[in-house]
Amino acid sequence: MGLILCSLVSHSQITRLYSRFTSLDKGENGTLSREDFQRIPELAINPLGDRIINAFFPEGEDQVNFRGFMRTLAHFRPIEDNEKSKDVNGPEPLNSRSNKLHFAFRLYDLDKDDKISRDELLQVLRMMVGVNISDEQLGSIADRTIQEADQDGDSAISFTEFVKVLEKVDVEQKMSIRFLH
Amino acid sequence: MKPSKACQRYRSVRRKPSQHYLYQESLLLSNLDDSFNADETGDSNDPEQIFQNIQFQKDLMANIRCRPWTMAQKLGALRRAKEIVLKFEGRLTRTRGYQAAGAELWRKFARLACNFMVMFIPWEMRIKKIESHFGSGVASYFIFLRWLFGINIVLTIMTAAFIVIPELIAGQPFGSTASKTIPKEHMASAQDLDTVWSLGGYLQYSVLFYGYYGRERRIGRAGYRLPLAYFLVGMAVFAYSFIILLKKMAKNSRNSLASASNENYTFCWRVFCAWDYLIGNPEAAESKTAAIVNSIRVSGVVTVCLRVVANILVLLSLAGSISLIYFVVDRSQRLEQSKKELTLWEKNEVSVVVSLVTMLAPSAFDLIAALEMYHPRTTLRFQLARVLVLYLGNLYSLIIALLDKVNSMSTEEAATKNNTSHWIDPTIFSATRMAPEEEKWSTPGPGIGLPRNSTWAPEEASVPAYTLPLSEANKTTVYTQRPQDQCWETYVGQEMLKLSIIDMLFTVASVLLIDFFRGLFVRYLSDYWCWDLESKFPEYGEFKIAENVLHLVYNQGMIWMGAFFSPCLPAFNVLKLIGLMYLRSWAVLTCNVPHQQVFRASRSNNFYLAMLLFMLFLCMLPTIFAIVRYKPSLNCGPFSGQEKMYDIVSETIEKDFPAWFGSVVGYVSSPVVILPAVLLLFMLVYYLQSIVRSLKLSNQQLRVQTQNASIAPSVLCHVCQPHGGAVWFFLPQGPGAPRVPRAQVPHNLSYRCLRGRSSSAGDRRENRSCSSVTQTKRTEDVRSEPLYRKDFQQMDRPLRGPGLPAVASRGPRSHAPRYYIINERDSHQKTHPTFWPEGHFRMDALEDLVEMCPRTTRQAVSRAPQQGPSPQLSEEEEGAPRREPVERSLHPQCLTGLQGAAHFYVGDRSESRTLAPEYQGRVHFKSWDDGFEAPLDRPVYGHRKPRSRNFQSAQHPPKLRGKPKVEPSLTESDSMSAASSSDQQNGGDDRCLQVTRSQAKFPRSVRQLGKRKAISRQELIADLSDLICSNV
Repeated sequence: MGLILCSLVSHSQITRLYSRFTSLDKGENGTLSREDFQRIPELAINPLGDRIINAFFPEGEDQVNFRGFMRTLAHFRPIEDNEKSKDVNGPEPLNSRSNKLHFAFRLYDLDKDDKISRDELLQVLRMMVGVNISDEQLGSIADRTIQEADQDGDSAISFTEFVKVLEKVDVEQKMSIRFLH
Repeated sequence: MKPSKACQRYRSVRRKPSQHYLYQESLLLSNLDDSFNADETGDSNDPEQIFQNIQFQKDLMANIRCRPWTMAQKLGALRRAKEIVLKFEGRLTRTRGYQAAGAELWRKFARLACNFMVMFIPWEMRIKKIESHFGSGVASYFIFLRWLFGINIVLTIMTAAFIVIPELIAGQPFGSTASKTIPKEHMASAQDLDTVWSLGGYLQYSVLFYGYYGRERRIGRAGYRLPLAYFLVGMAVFAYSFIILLKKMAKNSRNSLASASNENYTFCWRVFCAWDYLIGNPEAAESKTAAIVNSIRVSGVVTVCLRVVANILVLLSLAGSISLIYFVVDRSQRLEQSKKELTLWEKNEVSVVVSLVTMLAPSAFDLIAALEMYHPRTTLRFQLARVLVLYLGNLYSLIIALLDKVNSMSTEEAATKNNTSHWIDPTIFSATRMAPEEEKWSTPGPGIGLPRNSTWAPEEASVPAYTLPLSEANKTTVYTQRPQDQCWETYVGQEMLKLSIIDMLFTVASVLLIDFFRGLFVRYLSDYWCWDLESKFPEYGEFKIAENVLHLVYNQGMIWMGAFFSPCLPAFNVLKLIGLMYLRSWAVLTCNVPHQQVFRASRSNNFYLAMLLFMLFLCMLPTIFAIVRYKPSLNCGPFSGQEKMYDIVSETIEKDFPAWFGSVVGYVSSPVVILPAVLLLFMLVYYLQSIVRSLKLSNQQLRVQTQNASIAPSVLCHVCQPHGGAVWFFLPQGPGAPRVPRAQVPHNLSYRCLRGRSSSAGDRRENRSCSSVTQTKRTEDVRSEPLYRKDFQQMDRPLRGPGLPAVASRGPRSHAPRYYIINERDSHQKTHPTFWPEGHFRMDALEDLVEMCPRTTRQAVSRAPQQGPSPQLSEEEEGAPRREPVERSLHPQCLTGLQGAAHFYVGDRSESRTLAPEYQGRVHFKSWDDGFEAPLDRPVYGHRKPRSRNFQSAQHPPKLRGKPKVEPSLTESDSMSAASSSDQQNGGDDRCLQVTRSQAKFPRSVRQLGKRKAISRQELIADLSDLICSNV
């Protein structure tokens, strides 16, 4: 629990999340399945919902236990002021900016090759806009996107480039959930 | 920011290297040693050390399950840890435990208080709820509303505390003077609904309006200077609004990093940041999708003529609305002249028409905009601009019409004055004029028209020379039929308040009709209708964020415009905003769908505020103009009898301040001072402007530099990798002399070129390190070099931990042996061996460099070690000890096996790069995987490929911007070596990470693997904080 401990400070938070976990766990077998997640309305309507759900599951598994659940959620813990100063010599917590970004990156990186290719981008766009936009338009959008972000000319967005793109976005705030406790 | 952080960390670590060293040592000792040795106990006098040690042990206990040890080892380690804790905890003062517990308690309390405070933020939960349904765009409207509410509260407090309450408490009571009494002829109708409705009767003669306030210079026992206060508060309202607005804007722009706007990632942002993850409502999700579609849709067919037509239409409707308002005001004027009794409609005509125009015109614009077929974003922008112009036009035409009316009033007044002054001695004119006029005007007349004529008749007769002004006066005498009606300030205030009220009613009506009833209709009749109501024609009402915000801005503009004339307007606005908040939030939650064209309006967006500022400025102008231009009414209000309203200030200065102050103010306000002051201001503005420009420029240049810095190394490497000999041409920056011999080392090229570009400072150090190496000094010597001290300490000391045979056998792994092996290799290879160590040390030197120029050298630093001449060696020698030392104790054979591999590998690499490093990689990384990935629940990858994948992920950190570029450029023939180097880089990455961590130079580099593996101290420290809380 070391990692989790250092990311989720409060005991009551863990308790709280555990009760949330159990309430999501319809099968009552101590693990969550994809279906359990899909019952969450925010995820159900989110075009990227599947990706987010995927992020909870380790590769090749379709069950996630409480620990894995917590580990994923730990990415979303807000960065607190006192942490900013103290983690100068600490390890990087799961909720650091780059970890948050990496989490986001993985949502787009379907084949896990650490690159967002044009195809992956197209898929994401297709998910987001539905059928309202023609293929060639989506394609040109994907091209423009890659062209904007691409720095090394490999027609794909690597994590580095992704980070660069989102440099000005306050990910710390946007990718934060204030867990109740 | 990051580099500076890295620097900081580096420095902080340098400052107390011994601590860290000890830390690591204790870590090693605890795991490798069977007994507590002298070193530890010797140092344990320092409570800080003890504490850290204890924390570490506790951490170990907590994490022991995750360690890849056998159960016996775990038990042993656990026992040891417990012993240490038991042994040392007693030595520690209790206070630290209490401190930690107190800190935890305090944190809990702070959280609780934080949660508690949320309850006191008005509407916080409501806004959160809306946010969760409709996303942050809609919520931003409510946050803006709440912010306006806050401003209005302050304005209300200001006016109430300094004007209204003093007037109520100490001012002359109602009915005591003419200006505070309802004229007798109106007494009967004073309580009629329509009188009250049109703010006449009692309301007109109340603190609501300017006219009620007394003109006594001092009121009450304390001698409160009400007129002065009135004037100052009137100005303070504007001043406060300005200050608070500008402050907020400045804060926002600081937050929003708008400075970097020339880096455009519009598409990326739109794709990656499009979804609003707060949305939890299917309808909102739908419209969000539509909004995304809108935002990325490329604009359609351009139809110029239609656009021209549309613009003409918009201009026409703007002109129409403005002229309509002007006409209505004019008409009401004429009506008042011609009719004695006005109907309800006639009384409220002006405000109703203004509100109607405000409500309907935006929809008309919306329709017109459909003609234009712009891109939705452009459409929205046009729409906003037009609506803003419309609102401004409305307010302006209204205020101009009102001031026009005021103008005619004062013309009439002037006429009266002229008339009176003709037959009354000018010196006593003001006193005498008041008396007869009041007598005259306040005489009860059953029919107002007639007595008026009769009273005017003698004047006309007596002053035949003034026929012309008199005819004008005749025209306007309507307003002078009652003295209080001459109070144009009250009149303006009444109009503004009326407008505000009617605007509120219209808002309520529109919400109910357009949103609620339409929603009901669509919802419940949809099943029985011949077409789908929900998706075809009426649909549900949309929540148009931008237009609603504009409406708020307009509303606030009204308040600012009228606040001077009606001090209670802010108070009214507070109520209005509260009502609006509840109404709108209710409507949004029940019957609205969010607008499809979501205006990108985040909290840090200055768009709303800019509009508000614009509005404030434009609304201030007419008020200031009226204050400066017009003479205050003669017989009502705090400034009656004065030539100008602001005379009150000079009067106060004259009378209530010592003479010298008056003269000082006189000088200060004279052109002698004012002109230079204005000039000075201009110069200051210019100066600041130019500073801003230069800062922008330097900002830009810095950005370009950083970009270059990130690109350059990879470019150089592209060039130099395929044919190594060329490398040297890329190393010009340094003060080159001692480098010449190094050119003979061909296999080291990429590494070199990286290093070469790092900086001249690096070269300096490099030379230094070279010299130290060429003297073939042993580790001790090197250690004496302050630059490397820490590094070596960290490597050596733990390894030489007394009494552990395993460690001892690996003792040579510290720095000196590294050199050894290199030489060994050299002897195999015979490729200019002498320069290897140089390179090696150079690498170290480079790392030191980070401190000086972190930004530019970062990549070089991260890369150089990876491709360093002895990657393997350094990898295992620096990496291993820094990895969990325990691990080393577990897999000694891995490491010993490694040495051979490394050696083999290096030779290979330096020669032809053909030998697959798999063997080496396997052995080497296996230990890592076993040691770290497994316990961390990371999937254990196959060895080689996963490695390269890991490497990929290792590129992620933004700092290594240049790195990815290297990869694709490798030629096919190099692919093997690329793979190997990727392995190597990966290993190197980790190693490098660890090196830099141990030196704390590397800004905590983002690699996850590396990070996680890079364990030891850092993780410990972070965990410490938790343990402090949890265990003590």
